[in-house]
Amino acid sequence: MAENKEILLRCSKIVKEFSGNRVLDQVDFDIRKGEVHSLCGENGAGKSTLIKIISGIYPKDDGVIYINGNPVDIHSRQDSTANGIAVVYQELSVMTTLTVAENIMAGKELTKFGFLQKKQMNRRVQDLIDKYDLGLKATQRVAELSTAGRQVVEILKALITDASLIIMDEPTASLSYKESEALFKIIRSLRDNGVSILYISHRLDEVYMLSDRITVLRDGKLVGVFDKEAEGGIKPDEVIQAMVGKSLSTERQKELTPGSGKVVLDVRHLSHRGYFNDISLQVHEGEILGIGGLVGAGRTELLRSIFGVDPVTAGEVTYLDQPISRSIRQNIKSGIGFISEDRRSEGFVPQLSVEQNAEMINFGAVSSFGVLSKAKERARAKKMIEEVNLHPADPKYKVANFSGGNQQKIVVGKWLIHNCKLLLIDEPTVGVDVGAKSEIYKIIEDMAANGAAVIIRQ
Amino acid sequence: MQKKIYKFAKVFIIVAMLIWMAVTSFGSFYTVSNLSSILMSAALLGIMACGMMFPLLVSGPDLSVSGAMAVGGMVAVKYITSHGGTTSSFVTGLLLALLAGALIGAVMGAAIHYFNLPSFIVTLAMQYVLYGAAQIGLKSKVVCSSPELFCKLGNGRLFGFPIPVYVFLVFVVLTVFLMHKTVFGRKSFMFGGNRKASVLCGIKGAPVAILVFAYSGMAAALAGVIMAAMNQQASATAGTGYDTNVLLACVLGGGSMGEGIGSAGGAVYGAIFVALLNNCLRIASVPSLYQEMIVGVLIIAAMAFENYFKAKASGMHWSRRKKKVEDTRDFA
Amino acid sequence: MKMHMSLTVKKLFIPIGLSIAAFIFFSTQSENFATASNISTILRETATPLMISCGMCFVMAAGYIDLSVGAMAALISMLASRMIDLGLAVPLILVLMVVLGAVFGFINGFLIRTFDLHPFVGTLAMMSVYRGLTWIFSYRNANGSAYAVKITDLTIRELNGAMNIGSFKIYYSLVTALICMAICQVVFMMTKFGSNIYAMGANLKAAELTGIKVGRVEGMAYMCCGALTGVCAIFLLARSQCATTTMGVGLEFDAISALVIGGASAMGASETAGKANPVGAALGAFFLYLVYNGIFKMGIPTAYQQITQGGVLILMMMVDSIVTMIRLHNQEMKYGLEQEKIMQEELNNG
Repeated sequence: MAENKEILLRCSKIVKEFSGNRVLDQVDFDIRKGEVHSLCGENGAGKSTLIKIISGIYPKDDGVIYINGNPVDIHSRQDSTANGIAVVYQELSVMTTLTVAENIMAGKELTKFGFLQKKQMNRRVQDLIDKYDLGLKATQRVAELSTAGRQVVEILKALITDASLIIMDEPTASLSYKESEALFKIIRSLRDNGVSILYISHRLDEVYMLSDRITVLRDGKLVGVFDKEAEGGIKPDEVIQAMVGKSLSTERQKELTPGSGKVVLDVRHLSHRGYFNDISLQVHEGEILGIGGLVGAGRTELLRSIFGVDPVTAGEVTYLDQPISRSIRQNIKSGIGFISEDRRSEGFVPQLSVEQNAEMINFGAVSSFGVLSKAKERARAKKMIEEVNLHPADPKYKVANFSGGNQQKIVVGKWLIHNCKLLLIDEPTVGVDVGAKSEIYKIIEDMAANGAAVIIRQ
Repeated sequence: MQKKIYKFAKVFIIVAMLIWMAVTSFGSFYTVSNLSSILMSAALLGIMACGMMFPLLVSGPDLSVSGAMAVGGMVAVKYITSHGGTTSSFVTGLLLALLAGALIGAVMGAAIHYFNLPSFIVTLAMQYVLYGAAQIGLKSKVVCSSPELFCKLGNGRLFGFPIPVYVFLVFVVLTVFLMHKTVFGRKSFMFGGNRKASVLCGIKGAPVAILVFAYSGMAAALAGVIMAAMNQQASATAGTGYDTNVLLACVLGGGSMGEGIGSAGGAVYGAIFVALLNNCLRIASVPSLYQEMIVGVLIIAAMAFENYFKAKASGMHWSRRKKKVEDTRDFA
Repeated sequence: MKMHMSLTVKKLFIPIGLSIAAFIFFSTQSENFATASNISTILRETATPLMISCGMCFVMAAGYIDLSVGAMAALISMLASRMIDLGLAVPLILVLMVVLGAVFGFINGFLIRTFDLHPFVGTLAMMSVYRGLTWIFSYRNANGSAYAVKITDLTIRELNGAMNIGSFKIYYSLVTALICMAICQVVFMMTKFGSNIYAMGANLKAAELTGIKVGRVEGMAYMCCGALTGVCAIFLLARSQCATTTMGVGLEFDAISALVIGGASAMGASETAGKANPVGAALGAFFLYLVYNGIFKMGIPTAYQQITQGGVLILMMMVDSIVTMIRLHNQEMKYGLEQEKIMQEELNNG
């Protein structure tokens, strides 16, 4: 099946700038009919922007998009849907109190004189489900479906628009291994039926397995297109090199010797039923332990369960030779810190100032008998601003107005001045520019060098 | 910047009203009795607005204030009259009323927090319950004209100013202190501003949620006692019409529904504004239901303005019809 | 063939059960409770709030609310009274009342949509506005106080009548209310409009993404609410035979209570929330007025009715909340067990 497949979508010299910052620089990109094409690149490489341009959310500043050889104007979501493009987002937007069919046909209901033709709609949806062997019932209530099932509903929403290109953004982020396998089967089935899939994922093993071609972006430019059909197939090293720009062995700032200090955290056979099972690990003083793995959802849940946000159904955790507390407040007091991956909804209070956010985790340090002390607040904020090199260095500035990188520095900073003995970090550099990213890594390394134990999920 | 213009406009309107009154009805407006009346009205509204600002930060307005006023007045008066009307009975009666208000608020706060209920409906429902309770407790109006201290509370003067104003000032100081200078106040802002982040930083939501409503209930009860003192009687309909006025005061003061935005100073400003406005309307012979209508219009106008500024701040068009392109910081 | 009952239908058992229990209780407490004439009275009382509930259902199911309906009804009645004075034909007046309701509803929806107002606060404010307007149009003395004027038209007064079926008196208002309920239920279950309303109530953002014209649906919902308020105003006027400025006070509250008892979730749509529906509202309203009547028959002062009004709503919401939390918990457990099985299989398969 190695014939020259026709090109479905072609982007030519796409340019996009945000306040003087060139996010996409003359990007050429094309997708063939009936292929699975992955788009790879680090955070900030421009993948997300390119997708948003193709799906009509952002207008492009320059360049042309061709569909089936004809130049098209895509200015809105409707335009892109009209051109056969559909997107399945990472955040599921399903209406849980409705049935599968109702969700899919919402906005496109079949009616006769204003009355719904429920039977026909259910039939239409069920036919589509059966065509791709998706295993759902059109009359099920979405509330009863698992995350994987809901994602299938999202895919169905794309399919019902007769899409010729389905863009999937990190679809396996919250799926288990088996559910991911089921998804891959669906993707292959779609491809065999002539639908093109644009697959975006950080999970390179999935990408290698699924893709017919891989396009790599770096710093807004196209750096490589890898084809399975080419000589030697797709070489993972080359892909990574293209993404990162240098070989994998990056320079390290400090030599950290793992496993030398005292055991700070000892996790034994920890389980949270349904999310992770029988996890055991140890972290020592001054050590940075990275956790990775295919079953992505489990890693965040592990950190949250250790910290006390989520429950634990089996196993034990010992912190500094004592059983860990289930109370978040207590854990913070005893020196455990937690940085969530979603800083905007869980990291800070946007309308409050830097100073006020800085004291969130330990009011005791800036108050006496419940009354805040301006002097102490100011001192604490000043210290934090200096240590993380916050820009602009104004303690009264509202956190909402900082850039993403600086916001994350505030989030990390407040733990930094808390002198944690254990830091649980979940994806600290999502959506952070390159400069701030390296600064944040340095901060984390410094904390470890000062004796903290760090668990980091990247 | 627009925000500064808005702030300036707020002060300007008050000045304009004062000038207008000077021009059109100098004789009836600028009299000692009328000005006192404004001050007393502002005092009552102000106490309740300061109280209501707290739950407004965390989840939403406390719409039961009218009922709490009636109950507060009832508890105090009934206690005083059944215990001989002595000074000590007055003190105890007052404290009991405050306690009652706080308890009612605490119950509401607990229900709202633990059961995840919308505060609007719960407080509105509680208003009915409280009205009913007040009607049962006050089958007939209970008159109370002693002790001296009690009457003084409502009608006395100190250096020419009505006593309620002093109570109000003390309450303002207390509210400013609690809201802006204590850990509890800061926690209220945080919890209202971003619940998830607050929980992750170890802030416990339950005490915050319960206490903010307790504070509001207590404030309303205090206002109720003062009103009973002013009229020298407790009646079940004492607080009618106050809830929308207090809400307007809070909204004008910049309070937003449960998002951690607001201030004690804003509540004071709002109370003064509303008191002044109502008085101006009354002098201009505008009848009370008409006044209510204007209050309603102002609430909508004030909220529309607030939304306009909020939208501007986050770069979106105010009518949300056209959304400005998301900032580059947004994507991953 | 197994009958799968949706959550909404299952939730209907609550008001049914409560009504039966309350009925039995109050029958034992007072002799003239369970009489045909008293039951007719209860049914009659249920009619007006039921009509408002049906209207409120449109906005609540979509995730909004309208607290101004009571004041709206008063205003519409007042305007109708004026129209009678002007000598307009009665059928025209009736139609205009409904149309006025739709217009006021549209205004509410428009303000909320355009200025992005919180529905509670916005409609609470509009309530004051409509009350004020009612006063403006009322009959007043020279000194400004309002008085009630009996409407001169006989036909409207006729609407207050009833048919006799056996020993029961079935009032026309009840019949109209039930017809409204049936029509609204059909709209919710079988039309695109109703389906879109539920979609918006479930997840506004998702609904927007599917292309549902949220603004338009919201406007229509508020208009329907207003129109039904207009219908209710007709019967309110017929019953009291004079328009006053205090008509309809508390009506919106009863409507909300009725809907919540009938299964609506007041805290927005969650996974296991019920949907607001007219039939549930009817059962809920019936239960409420059954209780009010029972309290009255027991000789308990009416102040207790007010307490009941508020208390029932809070209790029902708490119950709904507990039920939701239990369901969510069970779902978590079920999901957890399933996941565990899957993981075990994976481990076994290597």
